[in-house]
Amino acid sequence: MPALLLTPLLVFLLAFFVLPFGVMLYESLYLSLVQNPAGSAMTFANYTKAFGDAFYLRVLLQTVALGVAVTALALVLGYPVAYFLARTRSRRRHVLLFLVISPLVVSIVIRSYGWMVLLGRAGTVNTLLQALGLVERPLPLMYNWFGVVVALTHVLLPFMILTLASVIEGIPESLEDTAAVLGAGWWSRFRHVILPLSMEGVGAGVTLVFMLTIGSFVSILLLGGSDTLVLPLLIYQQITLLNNNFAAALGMLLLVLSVVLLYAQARIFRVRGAA
Amino acid sequence: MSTAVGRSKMADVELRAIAKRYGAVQAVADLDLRVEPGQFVSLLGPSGCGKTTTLRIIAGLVRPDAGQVIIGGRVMNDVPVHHRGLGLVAQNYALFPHMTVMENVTFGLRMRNAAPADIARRAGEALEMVRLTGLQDRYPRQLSGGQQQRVALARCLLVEPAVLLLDEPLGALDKKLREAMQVELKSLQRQVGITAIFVTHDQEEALTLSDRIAVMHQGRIQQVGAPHDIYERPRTRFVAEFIGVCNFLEGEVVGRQPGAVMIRTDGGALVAVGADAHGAPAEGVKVVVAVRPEKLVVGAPGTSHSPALPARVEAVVYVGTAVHYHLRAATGERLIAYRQNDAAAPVALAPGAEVVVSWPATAARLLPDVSG
Ligand SMILES: Nc1ncnc2c1ncn2[C@@H]1O[C@H](COP(=O)(O)OP(=O)(O)OP(=O)(O)O)[C@@H](O)[C@H]1O
Ligand SMILES: [Mg+2]
Repeated sequence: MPALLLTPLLVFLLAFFVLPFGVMLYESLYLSLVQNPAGSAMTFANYTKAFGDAFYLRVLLQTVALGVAVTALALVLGYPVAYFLARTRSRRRHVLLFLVISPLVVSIVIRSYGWMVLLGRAGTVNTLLQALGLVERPLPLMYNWFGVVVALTHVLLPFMILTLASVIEGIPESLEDTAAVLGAGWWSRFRHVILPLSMEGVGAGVTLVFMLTIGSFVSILLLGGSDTLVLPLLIYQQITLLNNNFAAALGMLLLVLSVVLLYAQARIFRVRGAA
Repeated sequence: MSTAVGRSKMADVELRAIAKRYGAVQAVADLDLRVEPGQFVSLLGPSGCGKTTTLRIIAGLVRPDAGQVIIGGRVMNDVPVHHRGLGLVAQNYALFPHMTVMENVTFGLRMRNAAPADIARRAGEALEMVRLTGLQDRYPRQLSGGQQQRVALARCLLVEPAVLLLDEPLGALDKKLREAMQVELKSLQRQVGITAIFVTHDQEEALTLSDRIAVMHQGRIQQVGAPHDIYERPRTRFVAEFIGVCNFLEGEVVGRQPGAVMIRTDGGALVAVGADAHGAPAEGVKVVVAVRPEKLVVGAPGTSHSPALPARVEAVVYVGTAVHYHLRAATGERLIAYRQNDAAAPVALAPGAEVVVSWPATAARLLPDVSG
C-alpha cells in the first residue's frame, strides 16, 4: 500500500498547516478583544481595514515592491552564475557550488550581523570608501531599503541559482552549437535559445525567491529601518499589540499573494512546444 | 535547378597540420586534409578517433592547438563560429524544441536579418525541397525521425552555407530509413552542389555516399581516397581491417619476380602478391599480405593455380546472398572466404572438408608490418 507511506506527511500537514490555516482564517473574520471588548459577530472589518487605510496599503505595496526588487536582482545576478555552473567542465565545479550555497550555511542572525559589520556607518564599506576619498561622509547603507535588498538578495540568490542551473543543465549544448553555426552570436543564442528553454526554471526561481522575500522577517528586522515596514513585520507588530485577529487577516493576504503567484507561474513561464 | 537553396558557394576546405589535445588525450594530431569544392568527403573511423573534434574545429566550435583551417581560401582560425557561414547537422539533429518547423528552418536567415518576404519565400522553397510542405507549424516532437532529419537539413541549406558539416546525421535512424535518407542526402547534396564533410563510423555509409573517404585512426588520417581506392588498395592494415573484412597473412619477402613478390608466411606457406613496379619491398622485409574474402578461391585439392594454401573448412555460414567459409590453413592461419550464392555454385562444402585456397596475385595487397 504505497498510499500508506503518505500518511505521516498527511498527518503532519493536517496538524501544522491545514489546522493553523483554518484557525487563522477563522480569527481573521472576527474582531479582537482589543478592538471590541464586547466580542463581535463575523465580519470582514479586518480586511476592509487593511485595504481601506493608506498606511496598511502602503505596507502591502512595499512588500510587493521589495519582492519584485529582490527577485529581479537575484535573477539578473544569478542567471550568469547558473549558466556557468551548468556548463562548466572544470574540476573545481564543486568549489563554485559550495560558494553558491555558502550564504545558507551561516545562520541568519550571524549573516545579518555580518552585513551590519560591512554596511554600518563605520563599517568596512564606508571606511574603505572614505579611505579612498570616494565619499566625504559615510553613506547610509543600512537601516534602509538598500541594506534590506542587499541582505535578502545575498541569502536568496542560492535558491535562484540552483533552480536555474538544474534547468539549464537539461538544455543540450548541441542546440547552442547549432545556433552559433547558423549565425547567432552569444546574445542571440541567449535570447532565442537558452532563455526561452529555461523559462520554467526562471518561473520556479522567481516564484521561490519572491515568496521567500515577502515572507522574510529577521533580515528586515535587523537591517531595515523605521520606514522599511513590510507585511511580516506588521503582523508581528499587531501580535505584540494583542491584535491577533487583524494579524490573521494580514497573514491571509500574504498567503493569497503567494498562491496567486504560484498559480500565475505555471501559466506565464512556459516553454513553447513542450509536450 | 536554381532554387533558393540551390545557390551554394561551393567553397573548398583545407586543414593544415591541425592538432588538438584534451588533457592526456591527443584527439587530433597533425591532420592535413583537402576537400575540393562540391565534393562529398567522409571522415571515417572508430569511436574516439577524433572525427567529431575535427568537424568541430572546422565549424569553429573548438579551437585547435595548432594548424590552420582554410575555407574558400580564407584562414578561418580567428573567425568566430557565427561568422563562418557554415551549416551543421548534428547526430541528434539539435532542432530547437520550442520553435515550429518554420521557425527552425528560418532561424539562420532571421539571425542574418533577412527581409521577411525573402525569408518566407525561401523557406517555402526549402520545405518543398525536403518534402516538408504542410508541416511548417508542427513542433519537432511532433515529427518522425526522418522528418526531423530533413528539417535539420533544410535549416542548414537555407543559409547557403559555404560548407555542409554533418556529424553522424543518420546515426539515430533505423536501417531502412537510414538507407532511404542516404540516397536523399546524396541527391540533395549533388543538386545543391555544396561541399560536404560527413562524419561517420559506418564504413558502408561512407562507401555509399562519398566522393572521397578519409580514414582516421587515433587522431590521424591514415588514408584519403575514393571509395574503391580505399577498399581495393588500402595502405595500412588498419584501413584494410576497418573497411570491410580482410584476411591477413604475416610473413617475409623471400623473392621477387616481374610483377610479383614472393612471401613466406610465418606459418611457412609460400604465396605471391602482385606488386606495383615501384616500392616493392626488399628481400627479408617483414610484411603483411591482405586479401579480401571475396577474392579467395576455394577449391578441391589439386584444382587451383599456385600458390595455394591447403586448408580445412571449419565452419560454413549461410547468409542468404552468399556463403562464408571459415577456414584454417594447414600452416595455422585463419582465413575467411565469401562465395556468391549464385545458381552456378550451390553450397557444396561442409565443415571438415579439405580444400585449397588461392587468389589471383593482383588481388592481394602488400602492407607494411606495423600493428594497428
Ligand atoms: N570536450 C572534451 N573534453 C575532453 N576530451 C574530449 C572532449 N571532446 C573529445 N574528447 C576526447 O577526444 C577524443 C576524440 O573525440 P571525438 O569526439 O572527436 O571522437 P569521435 O571520432 O567523434 O568518436 P565517436 O564516433 O564516438 O563520436 C576522445 O578520446 C574523446 O574522449
Ligand atoms: Mg563523434
